[in-house]
Amino acid sequence: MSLFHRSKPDIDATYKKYGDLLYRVAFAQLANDADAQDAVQDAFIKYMTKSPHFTDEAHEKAWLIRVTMNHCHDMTRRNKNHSFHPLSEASHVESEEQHGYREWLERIHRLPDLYRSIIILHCLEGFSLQETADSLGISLSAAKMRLSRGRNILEQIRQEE
Amino acid sequence: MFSNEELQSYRDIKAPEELYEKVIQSSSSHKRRLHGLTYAAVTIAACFVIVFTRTPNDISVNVNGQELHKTIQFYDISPASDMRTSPVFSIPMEIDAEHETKISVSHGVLILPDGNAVMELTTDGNTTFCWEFPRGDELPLCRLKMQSGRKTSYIDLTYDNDTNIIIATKNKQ
Repeated sequence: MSLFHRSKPDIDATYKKYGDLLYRVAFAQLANDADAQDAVQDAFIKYMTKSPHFTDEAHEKAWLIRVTMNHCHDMTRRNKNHSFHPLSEASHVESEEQHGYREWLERIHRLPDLYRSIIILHCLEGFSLQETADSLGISLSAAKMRLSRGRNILEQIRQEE
Repeated sequence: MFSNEELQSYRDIKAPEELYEKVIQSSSSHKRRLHGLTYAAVTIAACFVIVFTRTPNDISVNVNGQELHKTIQFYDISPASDMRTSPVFSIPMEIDAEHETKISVSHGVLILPDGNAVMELTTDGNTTFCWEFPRGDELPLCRLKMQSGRKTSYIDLTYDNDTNIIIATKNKQ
């Protein structure tokens, strides 16, 4: 097995490859631009300081997502009264109407944290179940169960709307 | 579950440019710290000032002017060969406590400005000292305890041999 390892992480290249993905995932998880940026930045700091050994790009991607998600979970736990700051407040984003994110964002934020992550990665990001399980550090069967439960809750939320 | 428009709106989310700048800045800072300091600066580098100001518990933490929310990472950039000649980590600290606070450490000693070494001290204002503890192949979890009335908070230090990084984590009880 070849070892996909760089002694000094190429942060610029890695950020260009995964920056948008990590931010998107963190923003969907936190619904807060500043917190999402913090989570991604923390993930890259850990990436730099730990310089982990990766077996391939998929491993690297899963590691970065897992670290970002863990930071998101920590933030959510710390900020139980997490305020909802729409993405439109961020200067880099165009108008809310153009993006229409608010509805789905509010919907997935009614999901428990446990199910939100899997819905984001599998249903929004389009990861395979195996890829999602790897990114969350859980078994495939656990991923299937969470996905099924998450979908059911999301469907109930839709019906209530 | 999600309409095509909703999926598209998700995929349209891009990381802001400022985030790229922050990440690259962190990277530059990391490299500069690792490579830019000479051995003459090792002692100073090992002595990054950890400044404690006020927290919700009357103490908040700053490192080199940066506010600490949870964790500080700082670099022990001693080359491996020099680590043997420097038997201790020496970390100057400043604690600013609003109320009477008892400070004690699980490992090492607190070196006061007058040169005296103590295992614990009590302060109700600003105090400075150097926390010194021995180096080893593996640094045990070193804990500094700050007790103010019924409130207790800790600073835990761990050392990563691979990266020469000391990680200080603030915890509350």
